Parts: sequence; structure tokens; C-alpha cells
Amino acid sequence: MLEKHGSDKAIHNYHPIYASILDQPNKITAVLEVGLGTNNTDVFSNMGKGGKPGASLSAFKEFLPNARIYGAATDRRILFQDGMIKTFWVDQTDPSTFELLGRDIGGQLDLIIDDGLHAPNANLTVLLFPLEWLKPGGRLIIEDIMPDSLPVWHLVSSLPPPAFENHRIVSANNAYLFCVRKDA
Amino acid sequence: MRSLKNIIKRTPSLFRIARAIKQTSSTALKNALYSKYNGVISELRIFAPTPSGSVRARFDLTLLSAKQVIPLLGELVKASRPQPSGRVVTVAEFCDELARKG
Ligand SMILES: C[S@@+](CC[C@H](N)C(=O)[O-])C[C@H]1O[C@@H](n2cnc3c(N)ncnc32)[C@H](O)[C@@H]1O
Repeated sequence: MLEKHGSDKAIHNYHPIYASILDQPNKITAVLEVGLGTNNTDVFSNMGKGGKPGASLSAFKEFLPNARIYGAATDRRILFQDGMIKTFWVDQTDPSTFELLGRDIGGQLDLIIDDGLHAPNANLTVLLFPLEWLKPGGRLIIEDIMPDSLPVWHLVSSLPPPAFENHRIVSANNAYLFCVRKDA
Repeated sequence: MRSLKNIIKRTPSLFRIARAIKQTSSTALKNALYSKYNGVISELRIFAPTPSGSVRARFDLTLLSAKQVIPLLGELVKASRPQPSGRVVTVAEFCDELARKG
């Protein structure tokens, strides 16, 4: 389904993880993904001219019949709304913009995915916020961590906030993921 | 200066030489910057974003990441422990502690 909608998540072999986290699709009520996949080539981390902004959001919309699907990215030109999908502006290099995003969403999330600007500062900005946004038992997945940045994640693993004891660095195709589960 | 420019413009052979010098120096400058950016990104690769975009943008984002990561880790430590072990105490507090613990 991810491939059908034009997302690269299956290429990285992330799909088994999402299949297992979302194994009860009807029960999921809200998901947020940071990083929409812009096709504007002037934006760093773009998906090329042929990219489909919000590809993974469309897949989640199809897969999760009862969920509100939120997306966020820096490129205002690609923000859109489509039924249960709603997208917002955020800049992962500016932590204060996440407060606005939190207020815009204003609800508890089952899953937060960071597939935006893949740099440690940007990832940490996302990691710092879901404490209050995630439902107990909810998950945060940080995608596309480069091997060179692993020391940051070994350090992060040694200082999880109390509610985030349950975390793993996962090795996938050519990249790592940092997966956290908020205590139930 | 203006008359020199005019002379060059009006003399085709001089014009071609001047243009070649300009092109070569701009390419050399570009190459020097490119290798400087790549050198810095490589030295700071722990902070660098995944390569997808211009080298200049990646260079800027790498520096920004290097600037932000430690303060953000500090925020994470604060969120992790109500009283981080790196808490700063006054001389009096420290002396109290020494007196208590011996
Ligand atoms: C890898 S793509 C996302 C792909 C999409 N999630 C999918 O699976 O179809 C990364 C995207 O992150 C967004 N992005 C880049 N810099 C960002 C920043 N500083 N803050 C938030 N989003 C950013 C851009 O939209 C970029 O195209």
C-alpha cells in the first residue's frame, strides 16, 4: 500500500514495523508524520520533481479507516487537506514551531513518525515533544538515521525520559530507526 | 578602469582571454568552496543530514545541527530527570553536602 501511494518506506524495509504497530487498524484514531516529501527541488530533503507530497499519509488514510492523519513540513507550497488528512507547517530546526503544531493538532496521538529533515538536531526536536502528545502506549518512530549519527542515539538511549523506558535502535536497509513506546 | 574594460570589450582576442580568466577563476572558486563544504561536512558527519540537496545547504544544516544537538540533549536530560545529576549547586550547598557526607 505504501508503494502504491509512492512512499519509499517499503524500500527501506520499514513496512513490517508499521504493520506490526498498526495491527489493529480500526483502533487507531490519530497519526502524525513529520516530513511530507516535497517535490520542490529547492527544498533540502526533497523527493525530486516526480515526488508525491503526502504519499505515506495517503497510504495511512487508506489503511486506518478511523484515524485522523496529520502531516507537517517546512514547505508551505505542498500543505494540503483531504478528508481525514490535514497538514501543517513546522520547521524541525526551530523547536518553538512544534508548540504551534501541538496546539493545531490538540489531541492525543497513537503514532508519531519523523521522516522529515534527517539530521540529529531535527530528530531530537521531535523526540522532545511527543511526551505530552502521545497516548500512553503510543509510539514514536524516527526514520532514516545514518550510521555516522549512531553515537547520538547511543547517548539518547542512555537518557530516556521516564515515560520512554521502552526504546530500541533498529537496523533496517541502509539506515537505522529509533523506536520508542510511551509507557501505558 | 572603465576605459580598460572598453578596450577589452572592443578587442576580440583580449575579450576571449578575459572571459577565459573569469570562467577559470569562478570554477576554481566554486571547486574550492565545494571541497571546503564537503570537508566540514565530513569532519562533522555525526551531525550531518542525509545527503539529498545541495552541498551548500547540507553544509549550513550540518553547522546548525552541530550548534543545536548539545542544547537539545540537555533539554532531554532535563525532561528525563527532575534533578539532573549535572545540577549546579552553590558553594554553601556543596559544603553542606560535604559536611553531611563527610
Ligand atoms: C523523506 S521526505 C518524506 C517522505 C514521506 N514521508 C513519504 O514517506 O512519502 C522528507 C521531507 O521532509 C520535509 N522537510 C525537510 N526539511 C524539513 C524541516 N526542517 N522541517 C520539517 N520538514 C522538513 C520535506 O517535505 C521533505 O521532502
